[in-house]
Amino acid sequence: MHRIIVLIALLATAEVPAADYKVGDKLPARPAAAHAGFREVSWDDLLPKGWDPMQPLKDLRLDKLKDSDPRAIEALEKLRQMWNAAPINTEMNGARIRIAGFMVPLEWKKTEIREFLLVPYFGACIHVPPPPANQIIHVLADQPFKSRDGMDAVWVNGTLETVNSRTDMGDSGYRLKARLVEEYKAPKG
Amino acid sequence: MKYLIALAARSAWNRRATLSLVVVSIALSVTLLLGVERLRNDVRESFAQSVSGTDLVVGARGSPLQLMLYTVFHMGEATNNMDWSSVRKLTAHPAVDWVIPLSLGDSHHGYPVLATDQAYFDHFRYGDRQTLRLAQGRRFSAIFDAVLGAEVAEHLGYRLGERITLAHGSGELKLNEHADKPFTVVGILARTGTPVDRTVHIGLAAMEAIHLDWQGGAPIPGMSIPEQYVSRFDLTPKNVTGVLLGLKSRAAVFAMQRYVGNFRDEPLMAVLPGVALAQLWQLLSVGEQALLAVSALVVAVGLAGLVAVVLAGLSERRRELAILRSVGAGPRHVLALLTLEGLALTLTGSALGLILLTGLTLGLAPWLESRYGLYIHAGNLSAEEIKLLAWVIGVGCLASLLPGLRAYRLSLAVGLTPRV
Repeated sequence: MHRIIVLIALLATAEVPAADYKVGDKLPARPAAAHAGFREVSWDDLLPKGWDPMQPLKDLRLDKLKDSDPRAIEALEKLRQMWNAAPINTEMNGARIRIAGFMVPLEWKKTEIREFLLVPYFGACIHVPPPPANQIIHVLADQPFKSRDGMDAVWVNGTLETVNSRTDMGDSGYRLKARLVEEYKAPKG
Repeated sequence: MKYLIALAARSAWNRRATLSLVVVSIALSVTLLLGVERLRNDVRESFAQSVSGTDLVVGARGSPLQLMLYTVFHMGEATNNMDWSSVRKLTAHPAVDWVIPLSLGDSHHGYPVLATDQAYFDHFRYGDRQTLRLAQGRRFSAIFDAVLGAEVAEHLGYRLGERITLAHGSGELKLNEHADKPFTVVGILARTGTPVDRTVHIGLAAMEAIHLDWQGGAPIPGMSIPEQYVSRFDLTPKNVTGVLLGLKSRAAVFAMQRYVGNFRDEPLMAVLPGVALAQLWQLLSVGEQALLAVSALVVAVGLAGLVAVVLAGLSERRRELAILRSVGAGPRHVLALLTLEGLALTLTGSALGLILLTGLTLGLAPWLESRYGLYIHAGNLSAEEIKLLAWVIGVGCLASLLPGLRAYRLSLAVGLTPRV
């Protein structure tokens, strides 16, 4: 009889509710650590070194400008263009990485997802403007991931590829062949 | 132990009338619980199956879910159309690989009519990136050619060469028939298990042609352009309901979505099918949870009935249990006897419930498929269903302990000293 009670207790605890995220939430960063040969990286590592879309704004001295100054408008336009044509960090090609992010489902099979986009903040593309091309990873998973509602926070282990095609529209980007996709659990401590 | 089982079985057979009712109530509750779970799963499957490999669904601005439901599942209605010039601009966009225009609105015997072009046969994917396949005949090429989905052809008994007329709007009434311009069935698609099966496919030019004398939104009295002269008119589509987009790179989907959202000529919207499905799941999950909760309660009621019947049986079996004790059965034997009985009843009920479920799904599946386009499978239990079943049996087993424990305490004391 005890076994049955234990079994039922196990079944009852099997579904632990995951944390709820709000739009724009990011996952807390954690110091780099190796997981079975996959190096943990942050989203900032995907930006090429020295690329700073905020540069046009930083060069401005807002206190010296008049209202509706054309230079301010121009700087904002430049920032938007830099953001749109975000370059990727080619040094990351072939890197075996582990990265945490939010899922944007592409292909469903019942409740399972095998192909999705990984983005750094929650609610991308639905509620808030999408991230630039160098902050989107197109993930193709070996094993399907069982999703609650398609907006899960996950860890992904895999080999990163940089896809470089030269069209005018942020066509270049990251693709990740994922060996493992697992539910995100907040780091302890 | 063997004797115990034999004893329990014989004792139960003695009370078969009441116990069989208990078994039936457990069976029904199990059928309900597993039926709800299966329906829930298979509805998801049906939706998820229907679209694959499409990066964006583009249409007039409105509710993303509504656009998705209408263009892909042919449910509900469109808020507005998009202009053909916008379709041409999207086609010319460098990031776009292919475009499938979709124009809906007419029907044939309640089946939706979809006007599209050859790109539909080339690029449309369903399930696990499967392409559409013609079971018979060919694609549409002349203006009044139609390609049928498998379900349409089978249900209405159409063969190649059949002449069919389409009706304006949806519904099965023959009020607004385009009777003067019949179509010829030139192809029948292989079964896909998606809304494609329930669709009549025609070319975009045909859609324009049958509406030539409908310029004012209704047939203009006295105006009739004969079939053979329709090509004297401009048959390029003026507008479509929506388009399915395939991109060269899936990662560019957000950039493209923004491009469509900021489209200058008219308010448009681009939806990621995967995201729209996720929204649909969220919407459905409320109802699903409620249904599951209700069926779980029904199972609880069934099991409570089991406990009540076995408990009530205790008093009428006082003698039986006392005799067992007096010939040497220990209290734990009595406990085991009653728990075994409860467990056996639960198991029989569950088994019967499974048989009933299979029978029901087998019986109802064709009707659900032709009527609602839902594909419910009979047979194999899914992992979730097995988990639910394990729950029912586990709880049934626990519940059977109750009368067992009561008999354990009372069997000797009460049984041998009957108060008459």
